[in-house]
Amino acid sequence: MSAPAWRDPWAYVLALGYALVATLLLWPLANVAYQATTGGGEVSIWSDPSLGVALRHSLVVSALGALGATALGLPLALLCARIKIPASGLLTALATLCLLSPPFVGAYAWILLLGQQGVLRLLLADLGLPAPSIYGAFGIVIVFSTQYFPLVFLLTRGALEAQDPALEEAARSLGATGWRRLVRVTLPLVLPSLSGGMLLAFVMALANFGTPMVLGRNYRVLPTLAYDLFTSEVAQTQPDAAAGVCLLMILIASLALGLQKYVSGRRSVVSSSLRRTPPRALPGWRGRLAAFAAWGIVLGALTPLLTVVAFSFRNTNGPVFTPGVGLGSYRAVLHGVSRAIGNSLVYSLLAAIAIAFLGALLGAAIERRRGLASKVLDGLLLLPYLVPGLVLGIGFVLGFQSAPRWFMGSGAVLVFVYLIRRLPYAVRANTAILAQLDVQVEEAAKSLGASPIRAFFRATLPLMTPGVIAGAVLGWVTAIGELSATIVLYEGGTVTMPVQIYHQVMDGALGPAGALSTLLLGATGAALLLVERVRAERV
Amino acid sequence: MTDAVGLVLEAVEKRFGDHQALAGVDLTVRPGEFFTLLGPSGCGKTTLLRVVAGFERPDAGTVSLGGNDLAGVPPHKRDIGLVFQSYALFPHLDVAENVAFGLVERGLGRAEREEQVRLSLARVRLSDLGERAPSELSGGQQQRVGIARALAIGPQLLLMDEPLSNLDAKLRLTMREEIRALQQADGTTTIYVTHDQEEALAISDRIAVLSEGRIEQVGTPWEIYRRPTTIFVAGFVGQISWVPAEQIPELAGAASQVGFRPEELRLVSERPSGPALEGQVAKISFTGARLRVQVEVKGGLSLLVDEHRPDPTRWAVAGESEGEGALKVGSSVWVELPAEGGHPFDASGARLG
Repeated sequence: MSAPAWRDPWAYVLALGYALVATLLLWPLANVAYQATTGGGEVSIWSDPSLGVALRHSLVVSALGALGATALGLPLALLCARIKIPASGLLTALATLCLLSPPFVGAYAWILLLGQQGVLRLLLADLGLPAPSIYGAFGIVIVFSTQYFPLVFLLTRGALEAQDPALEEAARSLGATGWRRLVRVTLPLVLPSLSGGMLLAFVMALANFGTPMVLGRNYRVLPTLAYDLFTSEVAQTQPDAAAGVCLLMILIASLALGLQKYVSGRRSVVSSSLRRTPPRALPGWRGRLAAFAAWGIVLGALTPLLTVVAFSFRNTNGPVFTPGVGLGSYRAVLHGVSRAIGNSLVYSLLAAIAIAFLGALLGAAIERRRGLASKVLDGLLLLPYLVPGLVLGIGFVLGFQSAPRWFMGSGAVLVFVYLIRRLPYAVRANTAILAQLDVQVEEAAKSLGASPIRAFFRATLPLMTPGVIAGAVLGWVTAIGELSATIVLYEGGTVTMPVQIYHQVMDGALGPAGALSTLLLGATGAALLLVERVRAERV
Repeated sequence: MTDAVGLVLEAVEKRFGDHQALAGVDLTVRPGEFFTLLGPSGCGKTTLLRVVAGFERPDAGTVSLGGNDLAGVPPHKRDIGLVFQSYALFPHLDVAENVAFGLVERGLGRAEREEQVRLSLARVRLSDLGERAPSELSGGQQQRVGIARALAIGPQLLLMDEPLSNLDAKLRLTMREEIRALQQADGTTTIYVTHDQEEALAISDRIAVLSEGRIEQVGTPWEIYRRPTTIFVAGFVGQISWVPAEQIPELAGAASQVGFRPEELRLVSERPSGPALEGQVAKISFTGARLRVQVEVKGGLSLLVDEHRPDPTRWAVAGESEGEGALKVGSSVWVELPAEGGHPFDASGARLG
């Protein structure tokens, strides 16, 4: 018994959602596809051997990165979900910081550790040991593993905690213990979440542009190939070839998604029980060993970031660190690139506000106004998960090249890119929360005389607020660290902190790059603490 | 059908922080017996079950099964089958794989395993559903799979933790008959936990009533209901109305209060010759099989009286009689007390006689 469409306010919200998706997502992607299939380049990209090499490289580093992330994230999830680890809240926050740190800061950190002048390399050389080169596939895989393991960790731990404790007890009473219980019961039950985390790690590694740009050198992957083709400073640009590479990236991500759905979707393993498995205290040396292992994983992954922070206080002279510590790098940054800092703050803040507002409205419309229109919109909002930032950036350039200057030449375009890239995450989070909230709360409000929109704002939204705030903060964090779409869209006046860091690292200005990275990390850490506070209040 | 074994608990204690979950429990479950732990939530019955299963380690006391001390024996070595309230079926396995789970752990060969699964499913009348996923079954069917899975390993002891409380009322009735019949045919010593006193009375050979970590009384359903030995048991199993001794000196004797079951009392309009109390009808509730009447007696006392097969001409609520004598809320009545004296308890809460 839904109201006629013109009287239903949710219909307008859905219409707004379709308008956003059509303009900011489908139109740019259509332009990429059009350019890729009809562009008039002399040499087709599909016959270019560099494409095959980049494809192979991308698949190798993304797959190994996802496996590395699993090797770190799965044991950590098992430890934290089943055993009480001291300060596990802090551990979770630090792991999240690894994930949400600006993507190439980790790469830059490893240069400080294992680059030509890296401290670890010099240390190993003093001991007469050879250090592996951080440049090339090895370094990229290391960075991917230590950055994306929290995806596997957080998703798998959530599933482990949500398990009905009776399931593992049943397995025990039937005779399955230790490894056998893990392999026969526990892991199959969390397979959807585990493979979901691995898929996200793979897709994000595939789309990662900054890390292979900084560490790859001659090891080219699909994003760096596309970037070079699109913006080449030496040869002629080849937008049609770049668009072809973009299409290929989307195709691989989609195939990976399909594979994951197939692997995890064959049998529903949703537990109907409301009981959860709490972690239990493990006394003695075994408990200490577990705590040591869990914290070892997180601190190990965090070491590069801490190195960046420490090095930002060292004195530098161009690419060379000189003796002594000081705030020289910070002075240089604040005087030299204050515009980048200001731009980053303004754009990311505007994007976060839009994400919070639209995410709540669209989430509610999709969840509360079930139907074909909301289902299709929900499906379309899956796209940004699969579309690398670089691809969307190229799509914007191709699609809006004749748009007025106030749009393409200003920060507005960046705000819109950040919005459409992160909006789906906020919408998903909100539909998930709403699905758990009792519809009857809203119905009670309506029966007491509130219109549908007022019932939503007065009865439902207050219950959603913590989730909305958390989504906005996470949106802000990713917006302020965004590089891959920004790099093809920024102009001199709209330069942002990540772009600035990228150029500084490429130019060898390690001091200022460290200072800017530390500022970004600090902002990210502060935002994550805020999210934790909001979550804590909710309980 | 192996030889059934008994279970003996001696002075079992368990504490969680400040909460004494089990305060010295002694219990003997006989071989082949269907034994029920009955009590309100938080009384320790589930803790007791988990101690027997091996999921909780008792702080003190011993648990022995068939004469063997279970201290230090992990759950998977105890040969104890478990049936859970939430069924706890493995959602990633189909019904037959669920039933085969414990057999795989015991290293049975494929043919032997399949035969055992077939027999187990036949016993719970689910032979055709072996290839279904648990989520495709109804709640009652899921619990039958849970029982088949627990029995398939041929356990020495079967533990059931409120196995019916997730089912609807009607299904609970048929399922409890089925569980009872299954246990009688199989002969496996069974411990059943429930908070539902009617379920406990209907299904058990013997019942232990628990309260605050202690055993209040152990006995057959008849003994528990007809001769409760503590005030708690009298009030928890069935309904009872308490009358202070001074109001019925002729019946009380040395007792400080006497309890009466609703079916032991009778409503009459004239003062009867035997012991009786006068009062007003305060509430009438009709539940189909009987009429339950609450009578307010002087001294703020309230008695529950059951009328089975109530006479419609006597009760105004029936809507068939407008007569002068028809009873309704406010009518004056006499409650006739049984001459044999009800359930007398002394001031310390012990039963007399």
